[in-house]
Amino acid sequence: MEVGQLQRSFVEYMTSLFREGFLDAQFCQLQQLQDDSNPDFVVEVVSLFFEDSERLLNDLTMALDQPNVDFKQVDAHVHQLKGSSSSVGAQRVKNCCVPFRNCCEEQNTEACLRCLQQIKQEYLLVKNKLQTLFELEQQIVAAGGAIPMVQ
Amino acid sequence: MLAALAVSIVTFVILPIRAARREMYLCAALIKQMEATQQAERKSMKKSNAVARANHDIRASLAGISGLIDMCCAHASPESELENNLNDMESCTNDLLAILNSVLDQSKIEEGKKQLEEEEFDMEELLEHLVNIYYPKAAMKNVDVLLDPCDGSITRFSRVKGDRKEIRSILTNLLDNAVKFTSEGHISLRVWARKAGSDQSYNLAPNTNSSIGCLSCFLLQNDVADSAELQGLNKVLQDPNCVEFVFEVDDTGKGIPKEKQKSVFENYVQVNKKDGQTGTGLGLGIIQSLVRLMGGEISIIDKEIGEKGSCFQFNIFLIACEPQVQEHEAISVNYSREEDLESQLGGYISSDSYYHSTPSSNNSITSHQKPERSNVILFMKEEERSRVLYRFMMNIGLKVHVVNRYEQFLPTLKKVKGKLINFQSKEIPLSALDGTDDDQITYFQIRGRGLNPKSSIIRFILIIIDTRVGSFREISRAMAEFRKDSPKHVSLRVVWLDKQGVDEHKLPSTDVVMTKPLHGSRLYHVLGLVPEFGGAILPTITQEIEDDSTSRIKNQSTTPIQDVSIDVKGSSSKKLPLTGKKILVVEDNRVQLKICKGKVSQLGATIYTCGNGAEALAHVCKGLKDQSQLVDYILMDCEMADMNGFEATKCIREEEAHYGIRIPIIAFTAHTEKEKTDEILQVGMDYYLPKDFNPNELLKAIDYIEHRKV
Repeated sequence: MEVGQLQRSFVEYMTSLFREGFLDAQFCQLQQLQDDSNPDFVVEVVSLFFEDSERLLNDLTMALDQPNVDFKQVDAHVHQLKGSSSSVGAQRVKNCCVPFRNCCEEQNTEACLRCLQQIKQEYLLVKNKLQTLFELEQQIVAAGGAIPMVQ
Repeated sequence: MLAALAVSIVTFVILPIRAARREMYLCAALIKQMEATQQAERKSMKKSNAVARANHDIRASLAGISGLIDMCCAHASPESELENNLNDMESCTNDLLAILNSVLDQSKIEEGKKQLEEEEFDMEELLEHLVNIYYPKAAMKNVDVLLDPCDGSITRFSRVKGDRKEIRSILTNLLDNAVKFTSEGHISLRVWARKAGSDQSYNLAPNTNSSIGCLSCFLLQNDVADSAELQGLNKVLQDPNCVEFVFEVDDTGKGIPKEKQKSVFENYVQVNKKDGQTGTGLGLGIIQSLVRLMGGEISIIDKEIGEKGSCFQFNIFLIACEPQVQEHEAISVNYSREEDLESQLGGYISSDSYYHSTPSSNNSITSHQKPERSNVILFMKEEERSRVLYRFMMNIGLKVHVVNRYEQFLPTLKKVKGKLINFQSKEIPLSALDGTDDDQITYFQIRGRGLNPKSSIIRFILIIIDTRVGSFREISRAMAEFRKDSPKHVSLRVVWLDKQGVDEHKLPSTDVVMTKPLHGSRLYHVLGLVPEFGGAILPTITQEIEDDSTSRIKNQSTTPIQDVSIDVKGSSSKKLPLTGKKILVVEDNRVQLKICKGKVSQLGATIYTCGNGAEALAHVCKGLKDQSQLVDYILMDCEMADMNGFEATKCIREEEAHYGIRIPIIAFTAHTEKEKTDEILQVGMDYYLPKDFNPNELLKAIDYIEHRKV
């Protein structure tokens, strides 16, 4: 595919991610931290985010599976997830964390399980989107183009 | 007899009576028309006044809304939906303000109340800055935006006095429109300047209203002639340093059909609405008024048949300041300092004719003998840019070969090499070797490097290659081959445009890498490499020889250029704000830790990390015992799991007390409510930042802490 076309698709895709709320301004901050001395910063941070989140989601599933749920633990995990998703700009994931914490306070296992389900869905969606974005980037670089900046 | 009587009655009575009646009728009609115009004028003025008043009222209310939004924001919890909504409201208010401002500007101009500011600024800098702003936006659509220096006259008249803000807004408006409506091809900004000659007829009535105003002044006995705008304009036009600048914004976009061209300058009309793009269309109306205010006129120029797009041309009058010693003065085309422009070109120059009027005999760079011109090989992707650079460089005396496709590259290289080898074998007249004039290089002397100077003439080739034209590997291989076989008397410099994929370490050290776009200061820098304009002649280094002792000669030029934004890769001499400082970051979330590290390292500091409060305490204790390991600042997360930020700080402060040391601790937290922030300060931390702080905020925090100490 021609470089210009790829770049246009990239810009459109990125813009749609912002428009649909998958990413927010924090993601732009990440991009600004990427420079010559740190050329793969965004990819590294996002990969770390994927690792961390998957670990936390596993821990949450296990914690909520116990006969006696330790809500403090669950809350701590959600807190971590909220922190990482917010700092990476994964807005929809972060937004799911707030009601989740409320359910923990109420010690309502059913509600927590529902929240967990929702978070998992949102996480998988954003993971998919980000991976597509990085693939597009790689295609552009392979075709000899530069990654366009999206404000 | 009777017939004669009849004839005389007709000629002396009836005809004059008829004529007089007609005249009376016409007079009456004229007076009626004038009254109607007067009334229309009054109506329009009253409407403008009303609009201006309404504007002010609306602004007051908007300011009120803005203030109230700010107050609400203070009560909203961060990152809540309420705050997001309030932020959206804030941007809507700002949008409304922007629209109002442009409407207000227009009514101000119409009323004749608009005052142009006068400040000294650099025109070339402004032009390059503006074009570079639009370059990336247009590049996304594969549209090239270039600055065409035409005959180079803007270099001579670069420092001017005028209203920079308004000139900037005129150009951004035109460029914005051009970018909006062009989806392929190029946008050229052509600028040239000439001293205002006496044969020009100036538009002394810049505002259409004031020509009617003059009429109405005759009737209403208002002294419009003393209006501020006319006074200001007369002052500029009568100044001996008055210079006329002509601008052309030429694009290959949709174009404007002939019938709509006039109405485009009427306010509130936008000709082509594209995919629901909003625009109140006020732009061109204001531009016309502003241009007229500066003594000029704006119009749409017809393009050649078959060429699509639109070309807007306007001229303005500014006062030129004494030109300071320009670093690239040597490149100014055709004009020496003392000579008057008029005597060389004389009269009106249309947009095409200046290219033909290059009196090479007046060229301050060439002298009586025809020296051997340097060769330039231009290998670029963008066609129009190649054309513009070709014309410009030919005008300043270089021999330019343009390569558009990769297949032409090798043959062109061979051709140029062939020409130069042939030259060497010809008889060189001794007269050509006479006259070593240091500032006017008539032939090339080799400096340094111990080559035999007296009898050989070095031919210089400058090769400018856009790395995006094709496979970089192939091109660099071709260059390596060329370098190997190039004869001794040929000096070569290569400039690579845009470092995408360029492995600079593989290139010989005399090569220069430059980011696009190639115009303005970057262009002058490249031209500075050529011997005619001060470039040093270096021996050709073949790519195999990697001499470690030759330092990387980036930006090699004997003429330092001001304001050149050339991409210098990671020079170690660059000092970042926090270079040399040690910062300890305490954060338990791995993702946030990595991001924080990124922010701090961008500022140049050395980073140590800890995953929880206890580790931080341990690290600090170690540092207190061994002062060389002491950190300068601590960035502490307040919401950690085990020992959270507050406890850690308390412990740290206790430990420090034993040694009489206090390390500044900056908290970062997701909560900025008053209770939390109070706690932060009470527990002994020095400053707090929100979790999503940007590097500048961190700098501010450190600045605050340092100044507070002093």
